Amino acid sequence: MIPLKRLITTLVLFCIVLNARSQSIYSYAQLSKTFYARQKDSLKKNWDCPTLYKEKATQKEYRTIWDDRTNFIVNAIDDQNYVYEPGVFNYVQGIINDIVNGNPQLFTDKPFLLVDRSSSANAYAVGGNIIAVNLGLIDFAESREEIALAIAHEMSHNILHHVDNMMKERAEWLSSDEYKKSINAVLDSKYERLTRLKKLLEGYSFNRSRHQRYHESDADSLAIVMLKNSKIPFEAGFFLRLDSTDLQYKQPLLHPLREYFEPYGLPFEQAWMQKKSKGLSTRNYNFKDTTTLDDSLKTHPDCPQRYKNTLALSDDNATLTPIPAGIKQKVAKMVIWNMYDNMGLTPCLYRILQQKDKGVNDQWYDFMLHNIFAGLEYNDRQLHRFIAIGITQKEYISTDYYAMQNMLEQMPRESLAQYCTVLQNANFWGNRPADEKAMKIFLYALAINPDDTDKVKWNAASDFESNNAASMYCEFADHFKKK
Amino acid sequence: MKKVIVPLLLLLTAGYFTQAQTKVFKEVSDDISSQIKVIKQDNALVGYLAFTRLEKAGPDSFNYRITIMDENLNDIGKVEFREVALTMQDVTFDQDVLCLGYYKTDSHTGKKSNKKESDQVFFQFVNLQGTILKTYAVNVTPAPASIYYGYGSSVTADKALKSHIQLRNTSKKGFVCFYGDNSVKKLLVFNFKGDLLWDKKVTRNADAYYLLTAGTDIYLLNKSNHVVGTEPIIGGYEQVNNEGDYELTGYSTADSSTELHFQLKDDRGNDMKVLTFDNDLATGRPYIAGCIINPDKVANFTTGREISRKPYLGLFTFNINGIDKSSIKKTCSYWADGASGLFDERGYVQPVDAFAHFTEAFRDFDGNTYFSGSQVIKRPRWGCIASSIITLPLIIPPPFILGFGGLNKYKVTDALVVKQGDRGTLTLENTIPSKHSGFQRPIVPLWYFDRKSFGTVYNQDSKANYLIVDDPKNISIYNVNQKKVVRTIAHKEGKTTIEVFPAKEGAIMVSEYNKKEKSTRFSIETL
Repeated sequence: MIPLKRLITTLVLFCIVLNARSQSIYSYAQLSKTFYARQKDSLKKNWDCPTLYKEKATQKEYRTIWDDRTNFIVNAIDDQNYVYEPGVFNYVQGIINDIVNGNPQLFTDKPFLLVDRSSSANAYAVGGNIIAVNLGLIDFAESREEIALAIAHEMSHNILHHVDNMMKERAEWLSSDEYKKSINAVLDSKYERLTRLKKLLEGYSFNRSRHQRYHESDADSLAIVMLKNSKIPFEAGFFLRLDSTDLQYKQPLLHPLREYFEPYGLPFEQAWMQKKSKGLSTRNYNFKDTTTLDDSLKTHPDCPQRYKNTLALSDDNATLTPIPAGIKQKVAKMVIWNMYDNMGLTPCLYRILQQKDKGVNDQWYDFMLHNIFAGLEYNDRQLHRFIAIGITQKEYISTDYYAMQNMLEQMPRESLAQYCTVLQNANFWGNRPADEKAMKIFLYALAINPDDTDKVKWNAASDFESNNAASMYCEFADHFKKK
Repeated sequence: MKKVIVPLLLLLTAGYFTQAQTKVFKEVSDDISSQIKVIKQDNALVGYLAFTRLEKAGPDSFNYRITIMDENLNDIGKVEFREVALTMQDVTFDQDVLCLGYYKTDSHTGKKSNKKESDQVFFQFVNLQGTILKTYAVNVTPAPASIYYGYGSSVTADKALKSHIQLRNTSKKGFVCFYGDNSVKKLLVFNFKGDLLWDKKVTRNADAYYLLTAGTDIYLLNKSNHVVGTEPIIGGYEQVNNEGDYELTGYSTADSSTELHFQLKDDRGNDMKVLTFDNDLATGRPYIAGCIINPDKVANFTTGREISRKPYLGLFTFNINGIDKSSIKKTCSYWADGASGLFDERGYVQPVDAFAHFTEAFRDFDGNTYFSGSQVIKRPRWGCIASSIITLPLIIPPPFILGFGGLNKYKVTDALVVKQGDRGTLTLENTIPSKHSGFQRPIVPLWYFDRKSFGTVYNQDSKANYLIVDDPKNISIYNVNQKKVVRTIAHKEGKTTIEVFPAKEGAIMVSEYNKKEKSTRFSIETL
């Protein structure tokens, strides 16, 4: 019989080793396609469209809209849009539990939470007591209470049946005689058909990116009530912060761009940062857009108005709860990895540099820096460098972002290859876990190996996945598997 | 990923289709048509413009939208306006003003109208705040033709311009326009506000015109066509025009009375085949480059056989340094001079054992002219020769065999690049591996089996020049300075077809069409 002390020591050592080797933020199986497979099947089978209308046409429209909603969630699960990382999930779930427990009269069941991997600072309700919270919201928020407001707001939409009512209204409108008459009138008119059609659709717009003002105001009101009942402080100033969610890439860096790359021994030319184009992007244009409705392009429109409407209910001098540093760090990494997997290399790199500005010295960001340049080299080989960079117009970004974007666009192929080689041989690899070292080998095959054939890529992807089946980076290898 | 044209209705209504609506959306979208134009300044691409006809607004008018995109295909603004039927013909840019030229007609339906119809050339001057500063219209006498309005749809009318509108900017002065209707060819000069400074009739009545500006000078290269022979086509023969008979005229924007008239001939009176008429990269002055035509061989050169019979005497470059004949510097390199040892007196390229079919010329930043084209090799048709000898006793067959097939066969092989230094010395820079054609009979026209096309890309900052060789299989990107192919792109990769187009300075636009997904993706890649 093994002495107990020895057994415990062995187990502890095993856990330490296991932890050291698999420092992945989450595992591949925690991505939604695998993790929520049962729930997805259940949604498809059991989320039946209720029969609400006697008129066949209206019921048919309603069923189409209902099925579209189901397919949205089901496809999002299949596309790996959601992740179950226990630390982040439980943190958010904790907030939900507090709100539910504080308002028992409003809830028969706890909402079903999905953590969306999107970098957008947002959350959304889709009806059916389902609520999704974006990683971008947790990344952006400065306090637990800020996240709670957004969650309560979305839960209010579900409680007030806004989504369900909107679906019904849409079905009723699309099957109404008035709508059919209006649509046919478009064709009956000899002139300005497009203008008439636009007016018709804009008048009854159900575009999801626009917030219907009265729904938003009701959701704000109920959200504040729920927070008060749960003893979670509310500050109207949260709305003003929400107004700045689209300014992530307008924030300047703390240091000249060169200083982020020189510590790695990477050569840097000032000329790369200067836009050499003579094109219209360098001119001072300012067109008045008279072709769309006067509406906000922001993620969160009407924030100043929402601030004014709720200021009287603000809890002045409330003590706000900071989000645990571990959660913030994890979320930042998850957002960056997701951006990388979707080949949004420029915003990915800028976020890494912003982390360095915060004094974060985690070598994971060195690993991601290597991945970004390897990804850029790979895309350059495929004649997709432009797509991977995703050129953004200068009026939407900071001077530093613009300079960095120019650098990625203009650095010569030879310099890019040199960056990849230098980073492949950098010192930080010594401490990295096995799956990250395997990623280095995989990216070598994609970006640097002179043999650029599909077979090499397939084999490299296959090798990575078979040796690192649990790693979150398998998601990246999936793109290169033989179909 | 940038979409070049997205049907407006999809933008408005994504996700909300019902079967009942589909018919309406289809019919409305059928009325929408777009043209895409490249916006140029000083001959460099600075952006793109989509001219869209949105809908019929009235009995004789349409609603239009101009969408302006920067050189990275990002939308920077839109302008909407109402006008009669317009076809956009050209656009240029300078001093933050776009100059757009249209052909404007009242009779867009093809139906007869009781109204007096007046066609016009119509100009708009639009600033970068989206304001139409000014418009200007000139009545024209249309020529009989069929024209198509917009991309993807057609409205057939029975009139058009004989020479379409060409627009160029002149640095610090304004915009220059050339057009030709059924009765007159005209040059118009505007300032940046859209005011007409002067206009002038172009006296020479030619068949083709090419407009260029350099500083405050305006140049018009025109060509007159006359039939010199015929060539075989499927089902018969078609007439072939002369390759020469060019004249260069020049004007000063400062003084419309100053003119240059220069017939393109060398000092020996030989005619010229023009391959390029462009601005020098370093000086900005115009130059013309091409082949010196053999006066004994003006008749129907189009076939493999003709290229082996000395259709040209050499290569030329004319540097146009001002609006007077004395400022034109001629550099002519003749095969017969044999100075370089590269060509024999027939024009045979000795190092590669082939004739050269030159189709492109361009300049580097050091003032050298490069000529690119395909190698054409000639081989005896041994089978034919043997049959003729064997059937000689029968008398009749041999002439038939030889007359039909000829003694030789011809094939297009790799591309080649020849440099002409400023003293006329010719050197072979390199050959570029390309897809070879099959062997063809002597009378088969070259255009049938020489399927290469060439383009050039330059980078002002790095002073790099690139030659794009587009053959049926691959696109090769050749670095002229490094004398090597730096990239080879296959046209087909699985279900994807790749094409390459001009883009901003130092870059190419790569279009990938996925047959399976029925989608096109565009990317602008720096070379």
